[in-house]
Amino acid sequence: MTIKIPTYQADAFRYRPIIADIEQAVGQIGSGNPQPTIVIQAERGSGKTWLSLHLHRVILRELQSHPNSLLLCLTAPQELHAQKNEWFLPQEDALKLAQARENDLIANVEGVLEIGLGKIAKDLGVWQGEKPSIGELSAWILNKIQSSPNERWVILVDSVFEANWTLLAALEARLLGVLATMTNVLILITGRGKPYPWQSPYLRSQTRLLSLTRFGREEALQQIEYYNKVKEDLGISIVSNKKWEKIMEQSHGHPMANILLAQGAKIDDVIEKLLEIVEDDNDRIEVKQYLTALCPLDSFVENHLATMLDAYFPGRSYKERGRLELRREVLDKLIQTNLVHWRKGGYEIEENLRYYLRLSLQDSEGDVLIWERLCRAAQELYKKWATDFIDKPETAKQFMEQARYFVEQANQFGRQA
Amino acid sequence: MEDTIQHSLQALGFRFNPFEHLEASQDPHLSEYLVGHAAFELVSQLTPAVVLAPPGAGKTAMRIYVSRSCAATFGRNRPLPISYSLPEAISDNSQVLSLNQHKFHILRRGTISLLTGLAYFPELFLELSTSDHQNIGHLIYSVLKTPPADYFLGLLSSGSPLRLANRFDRSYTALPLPKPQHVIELCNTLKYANQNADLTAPSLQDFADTVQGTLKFQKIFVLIDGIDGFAGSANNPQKAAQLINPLFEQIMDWADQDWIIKGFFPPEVANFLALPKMIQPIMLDWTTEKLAQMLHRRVYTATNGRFETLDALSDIGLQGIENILAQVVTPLPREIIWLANQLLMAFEHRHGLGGDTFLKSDLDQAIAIYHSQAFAVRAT
Repeated sequence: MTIKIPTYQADAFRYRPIIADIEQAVGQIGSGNPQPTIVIQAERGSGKTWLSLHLHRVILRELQSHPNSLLLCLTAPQELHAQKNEWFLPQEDALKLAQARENDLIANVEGVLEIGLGKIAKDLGVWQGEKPSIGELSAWILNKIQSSPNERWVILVDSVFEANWTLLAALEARLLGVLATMTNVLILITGRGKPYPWQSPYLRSQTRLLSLTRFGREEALQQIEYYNKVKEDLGISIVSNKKWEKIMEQSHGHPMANILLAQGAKIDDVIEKLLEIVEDDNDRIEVKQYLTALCPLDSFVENHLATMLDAYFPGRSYKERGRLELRREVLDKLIQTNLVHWRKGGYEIEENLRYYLRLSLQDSEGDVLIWERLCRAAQELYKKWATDFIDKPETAKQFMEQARYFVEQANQFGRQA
Repeated sequence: MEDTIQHSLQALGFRFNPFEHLEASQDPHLSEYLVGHAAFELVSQLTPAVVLAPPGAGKTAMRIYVSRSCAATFGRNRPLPISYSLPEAISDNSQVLSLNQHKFHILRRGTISLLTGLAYFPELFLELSTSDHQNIGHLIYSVLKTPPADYFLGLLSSGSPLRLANRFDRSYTALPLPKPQHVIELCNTLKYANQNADLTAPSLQDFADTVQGTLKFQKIFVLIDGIDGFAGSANNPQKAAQLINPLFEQIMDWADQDWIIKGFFPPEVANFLALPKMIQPIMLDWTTEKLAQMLHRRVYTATNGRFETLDALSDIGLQGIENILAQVVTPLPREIIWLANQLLMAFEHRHGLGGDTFLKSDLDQAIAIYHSQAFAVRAT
C-alpha cells in the first residue's frame, strides 16, 4: 500500500481551537466598520488548506448568521475540484507564473485571474456578455457584494504567502483591496512563509494574527483512529495501535506528519513530503542536503554556510568559494523554497521540518555520525567567533554558550555512535 | 552613482534601491513600504484632520498614502481623493488666496481626480445612464478650461490612463490598467455628451451631487499639502497660515456637507491656523524604533521578502544596522533614508573592489558623511 497525504474530507477534519475565534469574528461582520483581516500563518502540513475548505464547505454554512463565502485557493488542494463559489489556481498555471519572463508576467497574471474571477462571477450569477474584461468581472463581483450590505461575506484566500507576488498585487488591486474596506466583509488569509507587503492598510497593518496550534494528544489520536476506521475505503494501511504513542510523540502534533507516520512512513518520508513543494528532483535533493547540513542550528547567517556545508560534504571545500557564490548557490535556493525565513537576527528553517531533519540524523545509526560531525563543526565555528570577539564580552559569551551546547550534542551522540 | 548602486544591489538580491528617493512623491514603491504609524489610522478617518510635522517627517508620504488608498477603492462608496497642492494654486504675484480661489482650485483638482479615476475604472462610467454620461461630460468640460478638457482626453487617446495620471494625479498610478477600448469608449462618450451642452461653471455643490449622487462616493477628501513650498511662505508660518485660513474657517461647515479637509503642515503654522477646537492636530513623531522598522520594511519589500535587515548581508558581529542608523540621525524619515543610502554608497564603493558584505567601516564612513552633511540633508 502506498503512503499518501489524505485528501480533504469533511468527516476527517479534526476541530481546531482557532475556529472559535473565527466564528466570533464572523459574528462581528456588519457592525459598521471594516473588520480586521484575519491572517493565519503556519507551516506546510499544519492544516491551513483543510481549515479553509472546512470553513467554506461546512462551518460557515452551519452558522446562524448564514454568511456567504468565497474560497480562493492559490495552490490547488490535491484531488479536489472547485465547487460553487470556489476557485483553485491550477498547478500548471502556478508553474506558468513561476516560469514567466518579467515582460510576460503581468499578461499571464491577468489571464489567470480572468479565469478565476470569471468562475466566481458565474457562480455568483453576475456574469454578463460574451467576453468580459478583467475590470468588468471585478466590478460585477464587487457590485454584487457591495449591493447587499445586510448580507455577510467571508472571503477565504488560501496559500497566499507562497503565491507569486505579481498575482497577489493583481488580486489586491482587482478584488481584495476593495473588499477589505467593505463593512459587510471579513477576509481571512492563510499562508506559509514570507508575508506579502499589501498596499492596503486593511490587509497589511489593520489585521489580526491567529495561530493554528498543533494537534494536542487527543486530536492526534482521533486523527489516527479515524483513518484506522476508513483505511480499507481509502486504500491505505495504518500501523498497529501499539505504535501510536510513539508516532504521536514523533509527529510533534503536526497533522500531516502524524497521518504519514501512522501509515508506516519513516521520518525521512515525512521530510520528503514536506519538500515536495520543490518541483525539480535535482533541486529537491540539493535543498534537502543543504537543509540537513544547517539543521543543527536554530538560526544561521551567511557566515555559517561554508563551515556547515564542509562538515556535511567532507570532499568539497565551500570555504574556498566567495560569499556571493555561496549566497547564489545555497542561500537563494533555500529562500526560494519558502522553507527558510529571516527572523530576528538569522535565517530559520521551518520549525517542524528542522525538527524532523534533526530527528532523522539522530535516530539513524548511519547518520548519527553526520550529526556529530555537524555539531563539532558548529562548535569550532562558535569557539573561533568567541575568540575573534574577545573585546565584546557579551557577544563572545553568547558564542561560547553556543559552542558549549554543540560540544554537548556532539559528545552525547558521539557516544551513541 | 545610482546605476552602480542598483547593479550592486541586484547582486545582493534587491529589486530596487529602497533608499533612492528622498521625496515621497517621486517614489513609485512608497505604498508598498509605509509603516503602520499610529497617525495613519487617525488621518484615514472620515473627519477633518491636521497633521503637523517638520520637513522630512513624512507629511507628503502620508498624504499620498491616504490619497492612494482612496484611489484604490474608486467608486466603491469610499471617499474621492483630491490632492490640493498650494504651490500649484499660487500662480500670480499676489500670494493671497480667497475662499473663492480655493474653491476654484479644489473644483479643478477634483475634476481631474474624477476623470483620472474614471479612466482607470471606465466600467463604472460605462454602466451609467446616458443622462449621467451627459452630466459627467458637462462637469468635466465646464471645469477644465485651461488647458481644455479635450487636452486631458487627448492624454487618454492611446487607451491608457497612465499619461494623464503621471502628469496630473499620481494617486492612481499604482492601479492596474483598464482595457484600452473601454478608456477610448469613455473618452468618446464624454466628448459626445459635451456636444450642445451648456458650459455654465458648476459649483462645488454640483460637483458633489455628481460625485456622491451619481457615482456613490461616500465623502470627498481634500488633501492639502505644500503650504510652505514657495517663496512667500517657506520661512513665514503666519503668511502660510493666512493662505489657508479662508478655507479652514469653513472646515466644519464643509465637513457637514461631506467635504473633508485634511491639512499636512509644518508645526510652526499651527499657532496661526484658524483651527476649530474640536480638531486636535495629529503630531507625526518618530521614535528610533519606528525609524528602524521603516528601514526593515523597505529592505523587506525591495528584496521580495528575502530578508528584512541589512544584517543579513553583514559581517559577523555587525548586527542591528538599522537600529544603529536610527540612533545616529535626527528622528526623521528623510534623514535616515539619506543615511541608509550613504551606507549603500559606501558599500558600493568597496563592492567595486570585490566586497560582498557590509562591514563596520562602511557604516562608519556613512555616519561620518551624515555628520558632515546633516545640515544639507535638512535643507533638501
